[in-house]
Amino acid sequence: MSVGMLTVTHRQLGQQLVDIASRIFARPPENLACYGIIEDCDLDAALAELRDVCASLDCKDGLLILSDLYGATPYNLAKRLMSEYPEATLVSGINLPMVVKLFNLQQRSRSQLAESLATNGRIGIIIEAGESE
Amino acid sequence: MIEKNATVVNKLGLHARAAAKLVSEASQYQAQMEIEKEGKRANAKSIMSIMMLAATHGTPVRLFTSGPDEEEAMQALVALFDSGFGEGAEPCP
Repeated sequence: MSVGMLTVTHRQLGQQLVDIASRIFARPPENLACYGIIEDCDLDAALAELRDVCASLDCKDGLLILSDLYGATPYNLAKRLMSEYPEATLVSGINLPMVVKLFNLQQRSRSQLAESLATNGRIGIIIEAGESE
Repeated sequence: MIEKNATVVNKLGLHARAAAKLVSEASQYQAQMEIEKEGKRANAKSIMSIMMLAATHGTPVRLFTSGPDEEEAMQALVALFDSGFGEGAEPCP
């Protein structure tokens, strides 16, 4: 499977998460690119840049996009990109557990990848109360 | 199925880089490989499953391997734990 993976986030959030995961696994990610948006940017220009970033990926079996805050500008931009990539899936709420899982994926279909990332993003959120509670 | 006891002997415990190393090693075997801490089992081929154990220095664990190459898989797991995932062993409390 050749699913291209793309983070579309506020500023360097996605790139930073990917850099940390790269350090953890001591290797760079495969077929993954990061795009960061600065607030109040020209969305049309950003979309054009995003198209160029996507062109660098092998998306033979689709495109998987990870964005941060649902409904925010990076998410909205990713949605616009999706209208040009019918075989794309968008997962919001990017976090380090999700990105770490990106480096530990078996070859799977796009929908299975998306489900796996979302599941790992959720299970990495744990609430632990201090002794005073 | 093979079972063995082991201890997390490296100072930083089963932290992210150690877990990534464990996953990379485990993924080379066909056998099902699991690590149990206080009754909670983790898939040794899944980074988040291992991280959820939150196994610190000195934590005793039980290792399980099951499948065609379970012997070799267990040897590899034990070697990793004994070497502190390549980070060396610190005396356990």
